[in-house]
Parts: sequence; C-alpha cells; structure tokens
Amino acid sequence: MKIRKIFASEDYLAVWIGFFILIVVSLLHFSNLDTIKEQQQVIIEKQLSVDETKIELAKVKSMNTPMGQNIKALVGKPKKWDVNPVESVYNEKSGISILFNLAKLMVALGLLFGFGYKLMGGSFSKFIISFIALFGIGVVAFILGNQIEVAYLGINYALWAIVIGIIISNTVGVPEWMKPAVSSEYYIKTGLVILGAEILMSKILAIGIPGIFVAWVVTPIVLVVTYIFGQKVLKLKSKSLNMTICADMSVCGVSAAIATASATNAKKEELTIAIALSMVFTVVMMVVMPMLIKFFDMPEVLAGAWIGGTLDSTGAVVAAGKFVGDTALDVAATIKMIQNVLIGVIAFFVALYWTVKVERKKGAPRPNPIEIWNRFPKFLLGFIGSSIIFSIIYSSMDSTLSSSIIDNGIIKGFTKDVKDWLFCLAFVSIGLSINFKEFRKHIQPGKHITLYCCGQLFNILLTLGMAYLMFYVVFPEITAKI
Amino acid sequence: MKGLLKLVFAVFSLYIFVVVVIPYINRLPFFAPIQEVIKKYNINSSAFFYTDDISDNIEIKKYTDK
Repeated sequence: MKIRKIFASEDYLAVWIGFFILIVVSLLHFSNLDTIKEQQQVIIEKQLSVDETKIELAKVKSMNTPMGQNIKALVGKPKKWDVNPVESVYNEKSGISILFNLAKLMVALGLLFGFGYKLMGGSFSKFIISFIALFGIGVVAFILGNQIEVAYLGINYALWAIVIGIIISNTVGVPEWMKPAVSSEYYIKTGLVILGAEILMSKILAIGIPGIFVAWVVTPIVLVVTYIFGQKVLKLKSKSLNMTICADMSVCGVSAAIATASATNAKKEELTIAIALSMVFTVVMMVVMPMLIKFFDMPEVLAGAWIGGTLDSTGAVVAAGKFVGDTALDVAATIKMIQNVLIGVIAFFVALYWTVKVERKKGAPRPNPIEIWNRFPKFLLGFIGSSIIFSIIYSSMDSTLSSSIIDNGIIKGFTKDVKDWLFCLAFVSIGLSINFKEFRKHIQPGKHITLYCCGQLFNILLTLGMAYLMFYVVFPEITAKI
Repeated sequence: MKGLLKLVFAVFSLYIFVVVVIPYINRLPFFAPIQEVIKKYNINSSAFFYTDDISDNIEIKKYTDK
C-alpha cells in the first residue's frame, strides 16, 4: 500500500516524471562531452588571445550539436508573428514547419503523463484523447502570447492559457471526454521539479555580496511584512491567496506565484488572481520606474539594483534596465537572477509553515516530525533536490564545460522550454476548471489591489534603501568597479 | 447554441483585443518610449525567468561566470 502510494500519488509522480525527464536529457547531453572537449581543444590549440579564446569557447554549446539541435527542436514553441498567426508554426520563406515537432512533443508528453495517470488508477486511452485537446489549446496560448505586439507588452502565454480555458469552460463548457487530462497540479508540480535544475545556486553565489543583500534580505522581509499586513490589517479571507500574492509581488512574479500556490494548496482561482495582478502591475512599473529614475537622475548602479529588486518578471527587468542604460541593465538582471534563486527556499519554508502552523487545527498539538513529513508537499523536495544536484554537478565541472553542457545544453536546450510547456498545460487546465460565477466570489478587488500596491510600495522603498546602503555605503569599492 | 454564440463572441473579442487594442496601447505616449527600446533590442519582455531567452541583441555581463 505504502509502495503504491510512493509511486502512484500525484505528488510523487511529479517527482518521478520530472527526474525521469531530467535524467534522460542529461544523459543525452553528457554523451556530447567528448565532442565538446574536442571542439574546445581545437580552439585552445589556435593560441588566440585570452579574450578571443573565451569568446570562441563560449560559442561551443551542446545544444548546437546535431543531437542538441534535435532535442531543442522537440520542445520548440510557436514563433513570433505579426499579422498572420500561421507564421508562428510555418515559415513560408524557409518552408519550415514546426507542426511535426509539436506532434512529437505531444505524443512524448502524452505517453509520459498518461502512464502516470494510469498508475493513479485512471484510463490511459481516455487521458490521451483528452491530452490532445489540452495540448492543442496550449499551442493556441503560445501563438497568442507570441503575437509581436502582445509580446512587447509582456503578456505571455500564462495569461492567454488561462483566458482561453475560461472562455471554453464558461461558454460551451468542458466536455466529459476532455476532463481526464485537465489536472493543473500534475503539470505544475512536474514543471517545478524541472525548473529546479535551472536554479544553479553555486552560479548565483558567485555574483557578489551587495546584490545578495539587496535580493535576499529585502525579499523575505517584504514577503513576511506584506503577509502580516494582509492578514491583520486587510483581513483577507484566504491565507493561501494572501501568501501567493505576497510571494508573487516580492520574489519573481509568475514562477514564484506558481511555486507558492502549490506549497500552500491555493485554489486555482487564487493563482489566477495573483498572476493577473503581477502581469498588469509589471507592465505599468516597467514604464514608471525608468521615468522616475530619469526624473531623479539616479546613478545607474542604484537604478539597476532598484529595478532588479522590485520588478516582477525577468523580461520586464531587462527592458526597464536597458531603457536606463547598460550598467543599470547588468546590475538589474544580475539582482533579478539572485532573487529568482530564492523561489525554492521560499516555497520550502512557506510549505513548512503551512504544514506546521496554518493547516493545524485550533488547539491541536504541534505535529510530530512524521506528521510533518506526511503532510509536506513532496514535489517541493524534488524541486529543491534537482536544484542541489544540478548545482553540485555544475560546480564540480570545469567552467567552460559546465557552461557548454548544463547552461547551453540541458537548460537552454531543453528544460526552459519543456517547463514552459508544462506550465502552459497547467494554466490551460486552470482556465478550464474555473467557473466564472465561482471565480467572482474569490475576488475582493479592493483588498487584493491594496495588498499588492502597499506591498510593492514597501518593496520599492526598502529595496531603494538597501541598494543605497549596500552599493554606496558598505561596499563602495565594488560599485566603483561595475 | 447559446454557448456556441458566446464562444464566437469571446473569440472575436479576443481577436480584436490582440490585433487592435494591444497595438494601440503600445503606441500610447506612456508606453511608446520603452516599446522603442524593446523593439530595437528585440527584448523578450514576456520572459518570466532568468533562464528564458531575454534578447538576441543584448549581452548581459557575465557576473555569473565561475
């Protein structure tokens, strides 16, 4: 019974499927090791200058080898388009269509998740039929998110997937045959395990002390203070929604919202509200922050630290940073990277707090370690585990090799795309499960917007203060070198 | 039938939103300056994690190198 639970619960299956995918792809990329070493040796033997050698070595990427290209093509997403949406899946000029690769990915993911569904006691064939429809909607969400003007504004597939799902479920309804594959948690948890491999702690720790202070001291303070504000002052009905909005606003937007919502068992509607708030405010802040920076003639390092520490999504951070200047861009992107790493740590502690404190009934004794273990979301261990394993592998390798195989092979050549696909399927599932009448009951627009605005204002002020303190008072010598 | 009509209306509204409203928003004076930067450097402003492809034309300094 216990063994069956370990293999056949959604929580564990997410870990098994996530690790299975990571192991297969890692083995494939590591089989390129000799080829990569040979290519690097050829460059070294050319006896170029140190800088030229570095540049040439950086061009050696596992994802550029024939096998790497095949793997990357398998998880390829619809491309950018302007007027005609067909352009996103079929390039008329080159005659290249990604439809066949999309079909291959659909079959691969369908088989993998269908097998897991069967282990959970469901029907494999019914899952596959349903999965085809779900995947099709996912493709449409990517196509909409890649419309060039939409992409410029920063509204990505996540929101479109939810919107399309909501439209279907609240107009024609979700047919019975489509329901087996509609399981947001299943895809989100697996996606998070895969996302873990992208969080290379050893890589980020090398960045520098001031940035770490700005990102790692401010973020938890803002998270905790805003959460308390939401509970004590705004008296929000749902603690999980409060925490999801707080993490979303203080850490890194959508990805933090996904991780925290899963850690707190937040309702699908609650995750949707958090994501929508994040996207809308990010679009506005991406414009307002550079305006304020220019108005106050803020130094670029301070401006970059401020942008990186407060704006939610990485893309918006880069856009706002570049608008201010190249130094601001570098500092902003770096601080955002450091902050991104926090999502695993924060999700872990939030899940622990939820298990020990929030989900404990009033008057019940403090749960013992076995109870905590039983109630703790196991996929989070997979998420953190994959991060630790990949960080260890990354730091144990030669830097050029780890960059070629892990950064520019496993991550950029596979995990970042497959993770997007899984999150997209999860968001479609969320949309398809939302009943708009029910959804409206969860919305307390005044309170949610107040929470986000107050939290973000606190974040903005604290980040600015900490950035000034770290870059200009405590470590001015580091700032001088940037 | 009623559901189907609602679906058609919703899809049409979505289409209008994507091809008319969003381009209009992008051209508003409030958004136009940053949109120019985004277009010029082909920044993927919808990227939400640091491993996503951020831009074809921007090289972020490798503070992260070992």
